[in-house]
Amino acid sequence: MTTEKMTLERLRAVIESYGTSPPRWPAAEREAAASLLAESAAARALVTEAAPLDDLLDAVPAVTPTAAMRAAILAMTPRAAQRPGEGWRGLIDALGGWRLAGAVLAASLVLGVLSGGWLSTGTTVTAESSPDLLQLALLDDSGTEY
Amino acid sequence: MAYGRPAGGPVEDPDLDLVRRAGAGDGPACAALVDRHLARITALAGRMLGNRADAEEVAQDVFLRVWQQAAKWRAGEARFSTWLHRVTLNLCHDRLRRRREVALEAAGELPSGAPPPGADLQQAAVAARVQAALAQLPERQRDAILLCHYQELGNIEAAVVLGVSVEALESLLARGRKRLRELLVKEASDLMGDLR
Repeated sequence: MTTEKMTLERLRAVIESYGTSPPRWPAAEREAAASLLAESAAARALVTEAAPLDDLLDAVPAVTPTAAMRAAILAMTPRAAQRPGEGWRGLIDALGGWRLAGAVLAASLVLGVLSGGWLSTGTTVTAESSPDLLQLALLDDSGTEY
Repeated sequence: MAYGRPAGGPVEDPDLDLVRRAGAGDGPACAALVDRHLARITALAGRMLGNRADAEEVAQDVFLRVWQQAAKWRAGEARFSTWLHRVTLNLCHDRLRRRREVALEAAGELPSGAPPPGADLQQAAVAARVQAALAQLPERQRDAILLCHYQELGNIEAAVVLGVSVEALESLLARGRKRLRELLVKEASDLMGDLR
């Protein structure tokens, strides 16, 4: 914290930028400003002159959050939005995580191919007829970049 | 997430532990982050946009981004609260831009019509006039005043949020406050009389 003396001109600049409330002043200059205000009537006059604008600014109330808003935000957390057992992530969890689920998926595909070869009756397997497999294959674990 | 920070090495961040825990899915940490920052973010959005509905939507958008980013948060680049203010300002600017595009007459929409239940009518009128004056300021000057006066950010953090030097921040503040005085001087005595 500097203890250098502050000039009247610097105090004027500080007040013109930050207003009259010391907590809003640059931390490194508050002490020097307080000393100047204590000893200088001209410095105190600067505060008196600038105070009305601060009073006007302070008249604008803040929008305060409601309990419902807080609840809605907490409902969006990844954990809250994806309960165990819900959606594909839940299925993956139920299958023992990505690695185990991958093994299960691979085994399913192999069995599917084999059974298709053995039991082929001319039926074509399409994405439309197996949307679940397609969705599993396209699952993307990456988050959204901002 | 990369934007300016003051020189002098990694920044101390009082939110770092909570952000890391939130990123790991810790519910109480998420709640603590919301309780620590929601009121200030909502207030900033409210003063930027002039109405509750938009402020609430922006606050929710901000925290949606928090949940998306928490697991990837890199310590030392910027304070979490600095990033939070930057995201809030960006989302508010987007909305104000869309308002101007959709209907020019809606630019700088102000709290209008009935004041909140129980609010003093004269005080509400004063607040509306001041908010109207704030809305007339150039964007950067208004941002600087909102960050320093209402959000009470320190000058260094506010400068980082705006991506400018402290000297440039002081210039924005001084010009903004000078313009506000010009806009409000005619009404100042009446307005202050209303408040007393």
